Amino acid sequence: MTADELEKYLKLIALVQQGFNALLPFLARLKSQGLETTEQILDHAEKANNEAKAIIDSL
Amino acid sequence: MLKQNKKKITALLLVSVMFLAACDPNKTRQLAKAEDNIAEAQKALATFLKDGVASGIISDAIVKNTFKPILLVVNSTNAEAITITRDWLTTGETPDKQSQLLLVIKKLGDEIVKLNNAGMLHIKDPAKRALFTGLVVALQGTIASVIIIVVKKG
Repeated sequence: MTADELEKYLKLIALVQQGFNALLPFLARLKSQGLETTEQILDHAEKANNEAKAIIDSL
Repeated sequence: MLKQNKKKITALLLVSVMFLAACDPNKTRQLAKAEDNIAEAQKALATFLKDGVASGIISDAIVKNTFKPILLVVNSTNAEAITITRDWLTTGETPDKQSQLLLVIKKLGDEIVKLNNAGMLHIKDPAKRALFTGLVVALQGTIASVIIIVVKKG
């Protein structure tokens, strides 16, 4: 393997790692959704949407 | 090669999110899950932009004038979708509610396209841009799953 190829693979690994880190909260949430009722999921969605609004407002 | 792999990873993420959101047999439950995921994705995107400004990868003015207005529309549109789904859960499915929800989701889809274009244009660092695109694609996948849930029978 050439140094150039190795660098490309390292960049790819870093990218995959970043992607997984970004997706971890989603995956954790998907797991807990399985144990909740539809109303509870909707309540959580509303709460998360309001939390998102607060972060967006602070931009 | 890196570009091809990025496309494969993005496609895999899209398919995974669509599958996870659509694998529950109950329609309102699937919709609730998708709307919850859209809310979480907004949090991730807004936090990404906030960190981006703090670390200097994107300018504060661009975030305020370009990304913030789009995210505010996404946020209010998802709030609308949550309200419709709650109503759907209490009173049942009607063609009217289906149309209402599809209109809301179309609006959401249009905003996501704008968000993606803004990211392509303004996020110069390739790794950060790829991460932003990944989050946007996850959001697009969830929105696509909502359309499938709304129009499918049963």
